Amino acid sequence: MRDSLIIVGCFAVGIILSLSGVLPEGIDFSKWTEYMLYLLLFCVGLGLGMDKGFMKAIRYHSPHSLLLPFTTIFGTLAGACAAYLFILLVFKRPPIILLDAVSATAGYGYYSLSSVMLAEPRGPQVATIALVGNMLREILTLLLAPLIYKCFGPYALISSGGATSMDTTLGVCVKNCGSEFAPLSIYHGFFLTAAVPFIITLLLSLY
Amino acid sequence: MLWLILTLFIGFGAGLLLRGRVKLPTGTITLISICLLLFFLGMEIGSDKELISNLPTMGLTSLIVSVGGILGSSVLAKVLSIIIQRNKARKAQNSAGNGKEAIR
Repeated sequence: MRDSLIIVGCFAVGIILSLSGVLPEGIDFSKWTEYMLYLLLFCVGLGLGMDKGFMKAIRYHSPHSLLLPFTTIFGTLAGACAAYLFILLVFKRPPIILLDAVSATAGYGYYSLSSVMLAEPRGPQVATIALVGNMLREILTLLLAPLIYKCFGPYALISSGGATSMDTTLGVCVKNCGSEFAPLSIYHGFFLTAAVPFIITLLLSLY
Repeated sequence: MLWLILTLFIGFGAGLLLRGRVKLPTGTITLISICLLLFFLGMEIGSDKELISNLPTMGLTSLIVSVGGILGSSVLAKVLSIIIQRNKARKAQNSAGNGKEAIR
């Protein structure tokens, strides 16, 4: 939770700084965002490579529970389609098309990567929805963890965390489901983190 | 896009090589790089006047989309857990019924 607050804080400072007009004009921030994305991906890879735990953890779960990342992928896509019906009801002129809604949720909580990947091909509007939507997925999972666990069970709580089930939301998963679900949670998060770039690339090819 | 995925693999390889040799606070390094990324993304969004004026619409859309994603994945995960439970029960039943089957 503390990390999420720091991250949201950095995001807010960036917005406020550029809105206040203190910065000199004509700087291409999108280039900098891209460089930072490379740095982030290198760091994530480094962290996964140095982590001994998760390779071992993957082995001792029943074969069926290894399907959890797939149910998360397809459940989220179906949920996004349902949510789009709701958007059509709320807005007279929907701000995005169906495929945008699906692509935005395909970050599975991995907001930094998904928003930057969508920024160039789909524009800042979709990138913002991907960013805020995926951040909300993480924040809502953290806040509503006991409720999700109570209504849908342990698998759903891990699933709700999406790609963040291996780091940010791992704490609430273990706290609510028990430590025996930690390996599954890490495996699920790792799988989705690795899958996000592929799924978004696939969805972008459908436009 | 290919370079992004390649960067991830290069990092993973570097991590494998470094594993057990040095201790790096990878969590903190990742957090710092996320913060830098989000800071620049904030600057990019803040300098986009049209986007800022649309923020209420964007916020509501994001909320609807993310709740849809959470609910959709939760329901399907519930279905998976029911299947897992049923399989476990069947297995338990089979092993309990093994004696009878042997008599038949």
